[in-house]
Amino acid sequence: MSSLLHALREKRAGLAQRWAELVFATYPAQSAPFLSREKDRFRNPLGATIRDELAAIVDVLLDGGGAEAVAGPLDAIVRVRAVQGFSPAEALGFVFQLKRAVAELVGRDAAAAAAAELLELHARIDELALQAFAIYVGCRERIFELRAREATARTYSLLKRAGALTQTDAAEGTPTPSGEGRS
Amino acid sequence: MPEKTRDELVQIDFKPPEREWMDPAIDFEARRGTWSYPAAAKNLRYLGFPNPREWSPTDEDWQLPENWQQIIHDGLAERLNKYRSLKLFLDVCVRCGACADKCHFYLGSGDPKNMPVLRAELLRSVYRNDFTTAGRILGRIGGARKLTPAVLKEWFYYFYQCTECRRCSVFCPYGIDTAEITMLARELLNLVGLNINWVIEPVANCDRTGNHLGIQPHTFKDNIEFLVDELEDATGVRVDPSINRKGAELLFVVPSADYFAEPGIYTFMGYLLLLHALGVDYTLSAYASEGGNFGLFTSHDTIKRLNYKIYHEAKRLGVKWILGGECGHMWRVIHQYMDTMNGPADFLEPPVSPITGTAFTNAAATKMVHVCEFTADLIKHGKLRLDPARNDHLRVTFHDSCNPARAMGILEEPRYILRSVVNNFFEMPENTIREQTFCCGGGAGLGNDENMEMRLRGGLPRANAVRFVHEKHGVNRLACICAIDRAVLTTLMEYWVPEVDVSGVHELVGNALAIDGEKPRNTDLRGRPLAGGKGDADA
Repeated sequence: MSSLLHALREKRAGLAQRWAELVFATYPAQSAPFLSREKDRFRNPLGATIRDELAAIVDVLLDGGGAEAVAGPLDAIVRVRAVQGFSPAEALGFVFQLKRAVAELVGRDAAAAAAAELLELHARIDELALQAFAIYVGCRERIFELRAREATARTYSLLKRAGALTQTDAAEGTPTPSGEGRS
Repeated sequence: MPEKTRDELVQIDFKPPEREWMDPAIDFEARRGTWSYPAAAKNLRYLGFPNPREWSPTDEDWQLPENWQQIIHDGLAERLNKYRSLKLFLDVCVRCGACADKCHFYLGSGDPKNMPVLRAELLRSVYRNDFTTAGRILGRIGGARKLTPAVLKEWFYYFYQCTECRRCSVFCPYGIDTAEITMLARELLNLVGLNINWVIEPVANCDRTGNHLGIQPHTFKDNIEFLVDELEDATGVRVDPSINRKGAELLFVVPSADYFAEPGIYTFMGYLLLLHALGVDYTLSAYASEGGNFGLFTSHDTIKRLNYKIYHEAKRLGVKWILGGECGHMWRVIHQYMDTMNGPADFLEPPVSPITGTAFTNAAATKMVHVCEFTADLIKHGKLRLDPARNDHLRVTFHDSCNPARAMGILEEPRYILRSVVNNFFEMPENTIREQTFCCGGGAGLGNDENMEMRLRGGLPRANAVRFVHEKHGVNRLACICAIDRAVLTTLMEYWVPEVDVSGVHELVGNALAIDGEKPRNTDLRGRPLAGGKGDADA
């Protein structure tokens, strides 16, 4: 058994917690304590999402799950950070903070571990980052799609009556609703 | 983009910069997606509002009047004198922090200035400086600061980032209504021409033509007829709503999005079916063709001005009382401001249901009844033939729209209706519904597309609870009783929980309502097939 992975599995909860702390620190200093402290997922949806989904990602990484297993948790975090005013690098930097959390927790073991083992772990984290990148781009594209589609839905009946939606209607039935008006 | 050295590229500082909250510097260019476009000059001119001009928050110079500081100071002095509540709210806060983690924008962003206490502090700090002895003497140590151009820009940013949903006020031990602080701050901003177009254009349109989009009477009529045709296609029933008809018993006022926008039109079809099935003597009006009142997001004078149009039209048509549709802030205006501003509506009669004889004594002052009260009363008296199986393709949860819930207490009626018209109803967790409901993130004029990122952030707490019931119970429909909700939550769901779509409560009533002369109902009002071939008129 890989000694590095073994050491990390022993400290699974601590690793997830330290990673979450590093991610909470990317938010304003006045807010990080609340995000970390409040455990109710409905009172603190942002903090709970980060804490729970990072823990899920750690589990997948340590238990050898593939990209599919990690897609849900990764999506949940990236979807939030894609709308929080972060630059793309800031939004996705959380993935690489796992390397720091690993180093802090099992630094000594890591030094003793074979270089190949450490490289392997880092490669998997890099893959995670690429997967997160694809999700991030999808989220950003979605935002602009939503903006465009709201413009149609807002005046749906006026456009339809004017014949402006005829083609869409013929091809696909009622256009997918995506927004209403401002009343 | 300037070229970066390799070292710069790899060094990402994960920590946000620390800044003293009293020294703001909003970079509007970098924060696109979180603010709304300013009001167009033509709309301000139409309304006779101050300082019409073309400008952008990204401009260095916002083209303010030369004496803008004096205008705001005098405006605040006038309002402190006029509204005792404002002075109380500014004086009484002890910064206990009960509200701090209750705002959906704070919960979704982590931005401390979206904490209600700090948002209010933006105004309170200037109040201390200008109007309190302690503030004058102690200055910054006492939490006082001067109104500088940077502070004013920060006001514009954060006071147009509050949806006035009043969730924070539920938790304040002193009952401070932070929405009222936002309202007053927006009034002050309006005095120097700082307003957003998504609010001011609907106000101007409503003032001129009677609705937010500026639909004129002939187009209003054509549009209603178009929906009547669509409804006939869906149900085989031809309804015949009248418009501007003098002598009708009721004037029916709905938010305008219900008759021109997706998915509100299906709610509107539900209303029409219901009123037709019962033979209610009602009329729509092309002049009072808007339940919404964006004056609430502008100034008290503007609320009064727009609200008056509805009552004037009721008087002109000679109706007995007014029935109101599924709108959110319309009901805050009716319930909390109308009687003071334009009351008493003594030319109308105390509302009594023509079908059940129930007297709506709760509406004795305003003479305006919420359609959910009206329908719940009908169901209670067994006046409707309902086949909830026609909604079996839907698994429904209910979002308490902020204003009907917190400003009016409409909590049970929509649930009573839903339990009667659907078989699969599931509540979201209790700290996200009823008085504690989370805002859609797009109220108070913020539901525009340029503000999309802020809306999606602010909508996270609501979407998070919807996702929970979607995963646990397979919920695929989010019902609500507010037109802004129907617009904003639809987009919110598409981003956060795409398996869930959004509708009004009366759309589901329309699906379930069995009505004489209807064709076998194999689809719902949206034309979607019913579950398991259900839907023949067998109620």
